[in-house]
Amino acid sequence: MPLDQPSILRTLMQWRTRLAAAAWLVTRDAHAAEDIFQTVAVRAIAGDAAFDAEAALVSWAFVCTRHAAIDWSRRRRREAVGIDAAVLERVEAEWIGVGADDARLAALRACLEAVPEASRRLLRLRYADGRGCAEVAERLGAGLEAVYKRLSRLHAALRRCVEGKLAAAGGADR
Amino acid sequence: MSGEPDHPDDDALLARLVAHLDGAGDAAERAAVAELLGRDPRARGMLRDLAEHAVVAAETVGLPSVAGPASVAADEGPRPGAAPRAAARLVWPSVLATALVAGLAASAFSFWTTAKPTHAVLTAGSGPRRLCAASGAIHVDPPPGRTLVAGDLLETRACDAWSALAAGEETGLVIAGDTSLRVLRPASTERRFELAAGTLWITARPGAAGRIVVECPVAVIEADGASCRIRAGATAAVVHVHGGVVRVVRRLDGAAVEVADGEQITIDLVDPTAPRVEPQPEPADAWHLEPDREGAISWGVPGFAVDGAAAGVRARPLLWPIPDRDPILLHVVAGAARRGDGRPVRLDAATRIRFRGRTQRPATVRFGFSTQRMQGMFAGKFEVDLPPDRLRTVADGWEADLAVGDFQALFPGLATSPEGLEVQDVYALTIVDDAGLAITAIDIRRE
Repeated sequence: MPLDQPSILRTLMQWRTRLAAAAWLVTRDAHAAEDIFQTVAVRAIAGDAAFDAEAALVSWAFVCTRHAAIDWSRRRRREAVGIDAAVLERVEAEWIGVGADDARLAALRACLEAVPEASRRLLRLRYADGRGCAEVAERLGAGLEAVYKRLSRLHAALRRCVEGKLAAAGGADR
Repeated sequence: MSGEPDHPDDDALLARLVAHLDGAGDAAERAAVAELLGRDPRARGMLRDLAEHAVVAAETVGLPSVAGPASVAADEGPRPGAAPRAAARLVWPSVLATALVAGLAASAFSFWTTAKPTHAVLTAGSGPRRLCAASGAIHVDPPPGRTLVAGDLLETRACDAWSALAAGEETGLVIAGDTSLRVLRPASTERRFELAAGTLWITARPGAAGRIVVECPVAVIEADGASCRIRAGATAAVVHVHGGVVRVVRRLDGAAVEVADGEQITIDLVDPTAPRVEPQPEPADAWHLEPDREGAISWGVPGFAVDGAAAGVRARPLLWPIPDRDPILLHVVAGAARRGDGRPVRLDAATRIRFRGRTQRPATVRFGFSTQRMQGMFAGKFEVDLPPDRLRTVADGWEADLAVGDFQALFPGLATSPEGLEVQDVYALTIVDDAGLAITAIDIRRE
């Protein structure tokens, strides 16, 4: 029996962040990525396709998201970042393989809440405001390489923070 | 959290990916990274993490700054827009009234004393909005006090979203829902805007100095100390004047006409005849949904009569965006309260609204309507929820016959009662649950 609309919406909302992340890989614009997720969600619940299982819906949503993101970038003549479609497909398959993994995303949110103000500012300029690193560097009065280094250290710290929280939660569960 | 590297190799790989996603590197480096991503699951894992970090960071730390987009200082200081953002939405109706009636005290002062070439300042707003700044930055739900410069694009992203601006000491602008307004570079002392689509109200004190020029796809509207409402689309523009005189120029051939208080004009690409100014029609007190009339159904799917049951308009799903929260799934039927004769529909204390419809199973139905002041600005929405046992059974479904006083104001700061207001849309919906809602009739009448 095909999934009903509440089930479709519930599933998509569980995958919201990862679908938006897939769109971001193409658009590099977090707000556009969210718009694309919304568009895909509306298409799913408006009956553009029928889904017999959640797995089918999620696969469809990732493909739809990728195409919508590529269309968005073409319309805005965005420069390609060099991630080809085959890589995007493998990344999507790996996301599907690990599942919605709400615990990891919750840990990430908690880690982001804890970052110091200077790092928040860097993240805001780069990802919330969608500025290129050269513009971020100009605003910070720093060099481009320094911004790359600060961002990569910040991402590394976030990864470590997430793993730490997941490990602690796992230990507490046991 | 410490900023120490996790592992030297990981750190280097992350730095490479960060630069790659920024479009850095020559062709050889980009090809090398692409090849690496193709063969190395660890690199793809980092790429996935980076993308998740970007999206979640945009949600978590993506609060708009208050100062102008070109200001570095705005990003340096404590972020005054962060904490008050939710609060700003709660107090906006009173700010709106202040802005339009009293002339914007504090924010207008900052607007006129700033050295930046600002052309308007946000004074209030509600619902999902977005400011695409000329600098390329995007600000979600920009707060009051935000200045706009040439090139900035302000969008309302739902039909119930609103944003008010000050464009001078004595002139206020309000954009309605689903509207895009771009600030253009001024030609002289006038302020220029591009209204790509949607509805814009210009409210000026009589005789106010400062000309406002609005460029629509089919017409250019010049308001010099005048008040009017402009509805613009890709092929038509409609201007209602309710104060002073507005000059309207048809882009197609440059034909110009002056439209005075109480008059209206429609510029439509399909009508090549000379633009005609007409008196605005007197309001009516009755209306009924005519599903077959073009534009009558603003949301829903027309159905067919089956087994003697009336043909209805079936609800369509609508994902309702809500700032800072997950969107809500609605199932909606909505009709535009426009009469065939063009007369606006006015509500008063004796007005009743009757809905007839059916659901496939018992469900609570929300009924509502949106309003504006007569020929004026948005006045809010009014809604009421009726559980199944309050829906009166009739031959082919149920009926809800409601006095306007039965509806509650969603934005009491705009209007606490619908009496004297013009109705724009009438709707019925179920929330999250798809109960198979269909509406067979809606009528407004005066008892």
